[in-house]
Amino acid sequence: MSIGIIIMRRAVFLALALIIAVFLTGFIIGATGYVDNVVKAIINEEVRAYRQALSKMPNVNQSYVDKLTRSYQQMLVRTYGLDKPWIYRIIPLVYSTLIFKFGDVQQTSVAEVAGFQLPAKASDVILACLPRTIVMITVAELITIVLALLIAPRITFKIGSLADRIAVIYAALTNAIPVWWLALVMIFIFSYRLGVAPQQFRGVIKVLSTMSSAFMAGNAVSFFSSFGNLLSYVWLPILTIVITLLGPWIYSTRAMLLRIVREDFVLAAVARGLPQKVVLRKYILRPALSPIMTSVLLGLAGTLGGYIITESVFDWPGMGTLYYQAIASGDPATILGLTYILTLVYVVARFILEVLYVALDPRVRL
Amino acid sequence: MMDRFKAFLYAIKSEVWSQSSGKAALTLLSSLIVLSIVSAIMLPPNFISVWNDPKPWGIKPKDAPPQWAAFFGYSCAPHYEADLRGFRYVLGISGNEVSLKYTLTYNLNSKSFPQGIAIKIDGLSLVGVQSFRIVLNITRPDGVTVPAVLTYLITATNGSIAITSIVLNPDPMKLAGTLITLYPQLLSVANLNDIAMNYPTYLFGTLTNTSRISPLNGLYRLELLVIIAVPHIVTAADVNNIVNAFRDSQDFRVAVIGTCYGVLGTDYRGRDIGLALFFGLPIALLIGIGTAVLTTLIGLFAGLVSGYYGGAIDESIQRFIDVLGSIPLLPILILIAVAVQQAYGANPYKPIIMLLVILGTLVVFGWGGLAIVVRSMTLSIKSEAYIEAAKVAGASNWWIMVKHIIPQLLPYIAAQMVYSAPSAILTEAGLSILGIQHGLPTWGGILADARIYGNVSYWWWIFPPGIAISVTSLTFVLLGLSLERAVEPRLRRV
Repeated sequence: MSIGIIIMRRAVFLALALIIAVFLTGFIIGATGYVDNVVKAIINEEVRAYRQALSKMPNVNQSYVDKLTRSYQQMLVRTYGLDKPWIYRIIPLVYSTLIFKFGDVQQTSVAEVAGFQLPAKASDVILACLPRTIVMITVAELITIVLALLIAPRITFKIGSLADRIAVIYAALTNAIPVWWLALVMIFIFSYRLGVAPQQFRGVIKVLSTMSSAFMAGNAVSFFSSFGNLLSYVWLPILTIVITLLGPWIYSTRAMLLRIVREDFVLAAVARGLPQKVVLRKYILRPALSPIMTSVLLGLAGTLGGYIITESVFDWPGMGTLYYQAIASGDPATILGLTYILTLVYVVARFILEVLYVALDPRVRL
Repeated sequence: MMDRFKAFLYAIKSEVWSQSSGKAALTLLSSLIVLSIVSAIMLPPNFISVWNDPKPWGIKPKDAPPQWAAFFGYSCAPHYEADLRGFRYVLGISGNEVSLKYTLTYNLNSKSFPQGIAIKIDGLSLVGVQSFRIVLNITRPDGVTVPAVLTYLITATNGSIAITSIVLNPDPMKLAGTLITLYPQLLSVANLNDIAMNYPTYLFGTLTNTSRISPLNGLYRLELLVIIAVPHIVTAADVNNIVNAFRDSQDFRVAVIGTCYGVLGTDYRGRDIGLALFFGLPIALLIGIGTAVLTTLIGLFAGLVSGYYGGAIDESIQRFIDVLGSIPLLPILILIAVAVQQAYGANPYKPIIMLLVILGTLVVFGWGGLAIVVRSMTLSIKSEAYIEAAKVAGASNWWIMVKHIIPQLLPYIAAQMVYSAPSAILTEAGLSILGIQHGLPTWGGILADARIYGNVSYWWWIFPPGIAISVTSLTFVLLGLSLERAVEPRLRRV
């Protein structure tokens, strides 16, 4: 098979996976009747308010009120599409999501995460939350990756040394500690005991909007002063994430490098008396590039969805909190939109990797 | 086959045991298993309903740190509880009334005030009586007796009184009135409402100067009168009947609620956190081990079939794994859990159903990675000459897989299996943090309560469950590390 066909085939399968993921989400939302219950509650509430408003009018006939209320309820049921089976509501929603026409947010609590009021579009809400997740989680992941890539090669030649043992023990420990628990502990220590970090993290919404408007206006002073504000909010979450992610990152990078260190060509290079630095750069890092790049790219793509639990612990108004709020309150447009965007990012990252493998690894081209 | 398997297990065990991390892991794992068996045996069958019922915890301190916190400078007002069923009493008989008088002492020696006073009665049934009265008088260290701190009266219907479960507390407004009558100077620092709202402060406190109230340390004498009226002049049979009824009740105790409690403190309802930690252990282990074993079995089977048979089977399994891998697991898991939580809201089996659904979802989305590894290893083993030889000798596919391929995969699979346990434990606990609770007292559930009701400021509420989760996961991580080193010589020291 030629390379073009291999890549095309991958593209088709990845696109298929994407569509299936969104359909599956829609299916879970619809078949469990979970969103229907939420909509029914909304309708009941609206009908109750309508009846109350009618009853307050002077000289109303009770049976007339009943009749009006009933027809209003039927109208609502039709508007929300509850008179048809769930499949008639979910399929169009999934379809419009797939062509990037996300629906409207239905729940106030979902819009509030973004700092909006109803009515709001799901796409606007998602776009508002994305930068907040990037400044916290993507930045933290980037810092972790840079640190891990600096540290791991330094210990590959010293298996069993003190530095190596410390790295492995650290990795084992942080692998066992949940990020969100460390987040609770950090909030307990730094926010409540020492008082050097904020107790409420929602303020970051305002800081980011001042920053972006200052950037638009070209106001450097205001931009940098709000950047300082931003740091005061993000340092604790970033520190928490870096502490817990660094261990597993170092460990997995070390494992990838170790697999190559014992290869014959590396042994031959060492035996020829090449300096360690040259061996590391030319004989170890080069073949390790593609697995390392895979985890870097997929890791970074994964951060865009936010860490649902950690964001929720910090009450950080990012993608994870939005996702959770959408699921908890039953907001189909936002759930489907988020699932679609996140899976799309992941699938695109996978596709880029496929192309890069071909470019980086001559063996694939044979 | 069995002998080979045993020999393999023994070899792995001695390999793992020869490493220090392996020793630590095996020791931890065996003690965790022993502890969880003990806890599963000791778990009362109605524990879930007792745990979620506020009544049994009414006489315990709320938001209280552990008792040993006193060593680190916490001022703890002692918690005093007396089971009156086995307590000495003075019997009094007058006319148609029988009275039991209990005298107890409470020694306050602290910088903080107790949280209150309560009496708890469970499963008491009195037959052939007219009424049942309780009066609690307290004599303070300064010699003043506060009368009727707590009173209770219940009259019989059809000559009998049955109390299933009740927690009695003082009537705050009435007590505040009594306190002001005894100590009029209290009105200079507080009004009637303040005193009623914080009655323990004023009941156990004294005015040190004109504006401050501080605990009055010393011996408090609690005099509890239980008075039962019968419809006629008291006979010996009545006395016998009443005394037996109290002795046979399920619980009858009085408590001066302190500010420190137990080994690991209490939560916002006065529930013992140590108890929840103890009973949460088997659940955490079950989720970890259950998910690990099931994902490994499915991954092994799928990878083996995929690699061995190849062709269309291989292609479809691999593409299926691709699809599974692209779906964001955590959101889907949360979505399913929330939907199940709503659907089975009132079902008594809801905790079990939710637990199984979470476990099932973790398994369904968890086996893909292992299947890919198993497939590639199977591919390379399949092309070896001895497999060809076995085929020529007429071995069936099944025989080759079981006899020649699986034994070679086992070490890797063991390491993978152990590694997948902690992530399941952490994910399940994480779901509780998000408020998806199945009602079982799990470690994640305690942490979730700490976040909702404790504002993250109570250390005894945050640290122990997190440490328990981490130690359990660490056990599996360490075991995985040493297994990996046992089967992958390249990771060993040169």
